[in-house]
Amino acid sequence: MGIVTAAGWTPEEVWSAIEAEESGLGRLTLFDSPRCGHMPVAQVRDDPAARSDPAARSDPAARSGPAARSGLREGSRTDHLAVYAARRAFSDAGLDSFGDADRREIGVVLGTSTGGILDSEGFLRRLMLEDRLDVSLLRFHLCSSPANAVAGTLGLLGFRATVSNACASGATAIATACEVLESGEAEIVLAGGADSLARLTLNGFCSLLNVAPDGCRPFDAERAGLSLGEGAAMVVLESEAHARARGARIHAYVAGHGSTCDAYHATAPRPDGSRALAAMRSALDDAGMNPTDVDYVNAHGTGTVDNDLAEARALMQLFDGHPPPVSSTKRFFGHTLAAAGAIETVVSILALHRQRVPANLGLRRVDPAMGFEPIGHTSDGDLTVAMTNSFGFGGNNCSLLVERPTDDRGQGT
Amino acid sequence: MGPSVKVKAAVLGVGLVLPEPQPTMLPAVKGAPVPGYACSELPDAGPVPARALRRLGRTQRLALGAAHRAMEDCGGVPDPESVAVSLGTGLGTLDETAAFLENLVEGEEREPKPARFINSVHNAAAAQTAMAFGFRGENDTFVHESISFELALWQGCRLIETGRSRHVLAIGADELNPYFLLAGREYGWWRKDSAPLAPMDEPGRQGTLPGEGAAAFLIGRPGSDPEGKPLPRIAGIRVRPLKEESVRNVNPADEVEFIRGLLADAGVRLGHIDLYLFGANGRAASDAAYADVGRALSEAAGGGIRCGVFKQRCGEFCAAPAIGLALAVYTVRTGHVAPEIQCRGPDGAGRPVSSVALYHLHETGYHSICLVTV
Repeated sequence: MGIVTAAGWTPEEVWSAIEAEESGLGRLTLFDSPRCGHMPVAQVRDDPAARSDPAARSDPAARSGPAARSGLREGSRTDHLAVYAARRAFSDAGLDSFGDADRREIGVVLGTSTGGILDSEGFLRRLMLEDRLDVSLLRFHLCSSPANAVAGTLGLLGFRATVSNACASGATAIATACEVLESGEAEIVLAGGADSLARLTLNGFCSLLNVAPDGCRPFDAERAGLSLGEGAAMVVLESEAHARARGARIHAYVAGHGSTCDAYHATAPRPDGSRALAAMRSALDDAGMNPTDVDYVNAHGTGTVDNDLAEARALMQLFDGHPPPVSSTKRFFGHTLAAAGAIETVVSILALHRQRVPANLGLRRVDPAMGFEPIGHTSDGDLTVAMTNSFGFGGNNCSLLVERPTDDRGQGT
Repeated sequence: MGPSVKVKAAVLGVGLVLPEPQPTMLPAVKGAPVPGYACSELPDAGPVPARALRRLGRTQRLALGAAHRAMEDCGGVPDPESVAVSLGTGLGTLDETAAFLENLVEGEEREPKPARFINSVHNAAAAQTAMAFGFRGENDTFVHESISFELALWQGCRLIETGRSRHVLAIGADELNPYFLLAGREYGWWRKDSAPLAPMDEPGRQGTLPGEGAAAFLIGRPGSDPEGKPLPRIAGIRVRPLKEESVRNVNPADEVEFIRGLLADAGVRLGHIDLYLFGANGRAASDAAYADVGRALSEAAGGGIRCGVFKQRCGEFCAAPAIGLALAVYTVRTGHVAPEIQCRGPDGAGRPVSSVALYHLHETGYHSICLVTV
């Protein structure tokens, strides 16, 4: 697993933030915008460890952001985030020792919603404000750029795809990668999601009056919208037989996945949550599980009025009014759009390993309409199976089920 | 075709939106205009009222038009709520994204336009299609440059094979946009005159012509035709990155093996294919590579093969393989090569065309092969 968010550059750092209940929200400094200072964002900062470690302070690369730490010579910010997470996942899975021939068989399935749009914005500003035509700024515009950067950096020539299902992209990429494995197209696939902050999304969500001025508060009675974030997470998915044959450490199983569409509205979720519910049920069917098998739900929980209510209705129906521990981790990382599903998959796996339920940070008073009480503070749990939900514009719903290895077949982190 | 052909999915309906047959000069965002194939009128979209259509982006409208035609072609499905959508687009609704960002720059981010933002999302076309037709199954959008449609089709076939969906609407759609024209001009993709393309028939010509369009395919489990007529089938689809950095360096023998592998999985041999449909686009290096592969295929098949090209009818754009697939389906459905395809090689002595292998050697660094049979 590899992860980079405003709350940390490694699974350990991210989990430390969850234990400490520290939000990654802060001031936007990545680019100039009149919106800076008006709402917090979860921007990936310099390595926090580097700030406190004297040895690291002397290393310019360790003090720097994604561009220096990815090892990628050039690319968009999203490319750097994706490559950084992919490298970490690759190493974590013990694939660094793979030779060229083996690497060529490995696939990449990545979700992104805006790719290198930050650079494309620069192209447009230069063209419109300075009348300068610099098409080199469009090199990373295509959404395929992060997946290609990952594959190019690691020498991967297997199945390659980029999914753009809005905020469900990262989860859908993982689901698609499972299908790639099951179809026999590949034995190993790097899958996940990546998105950087950009003026497009910042202004876009502001134009929809969907951004909370004081940070998101999922499931809260006074929730006022989402908080944008950026980041990436990648996981190495592998057929179990292949992983065992090479003696790989198994962090978790993707036990099931399910996807549906609301077919209701371009941005608003279906209010009754019925298609989100269908996605969750489909994931359970795929896994051969019952709702009672689920020990924790990492909710999509963006903090918008409509999303949280629709998701709560779906959860209450699925679990017959008694859901297992539920939390949204959006206030830790912001809503990282296409990266969210992948980041929250990694967080769910970490929760399974640590037997701890992450806090629903930002909660002050639960909206009684939810019908359940999200987990207010990071706390102990008895966790074998976690469900993670991702919903997006266009009514895209994707639910994943991850399961902790319960015998000596796998080892935790 | 023999009974051993492995069927991935039956094609129940096809919808095609083609640009005008003759290229015209189109305005780029800056500098001289660019010749290209464009749709002068955008298609009807069935259940979507004209007023609502006007608020949508161009790619959305192209996709909806193709979807509407596909649904008309098949006469509807028994359970629309279960239909999945799998769409491939290289650039999405770039026009809408550009308009949103232009407004941000001009207005210093004071009044961003929400409708433009909503339309700018890459999955907007798939989502609109789902809303228009009430399709509530899985809804996926693939955005991997020129292989976006092949990936969408792969996903669609996978949904059918695994039983996750009974029906899938697989769509490929991309729009022409002044920024796309500008970028292509600066990178030297386009030729300067508006003479129609003649792929693999213009030695020495540099550049291709940009285009746009959409095609949609309602696919389902084989044997689902209520009248018992033989239906076109997607018998195999494979898409992979190239080992080589450029199509100039591909080894024709390796390409033959790539094609042979897919055909073998489907139980078919190279010489059994009635028509190889190539994605050649008129660019010299690309056309030369296709020609080399064609010669190697002929040799490996033990005789001349029949080849065809189609981009002289639609120009080059990311989702153009969807156009090729629609023409391939029309061909096996009627038994006659679709008029939009230009053919060369032996004509099969009047035998009906029952198998088409759609082959692309993408300059973006991929190759793909899709087998269509009846």
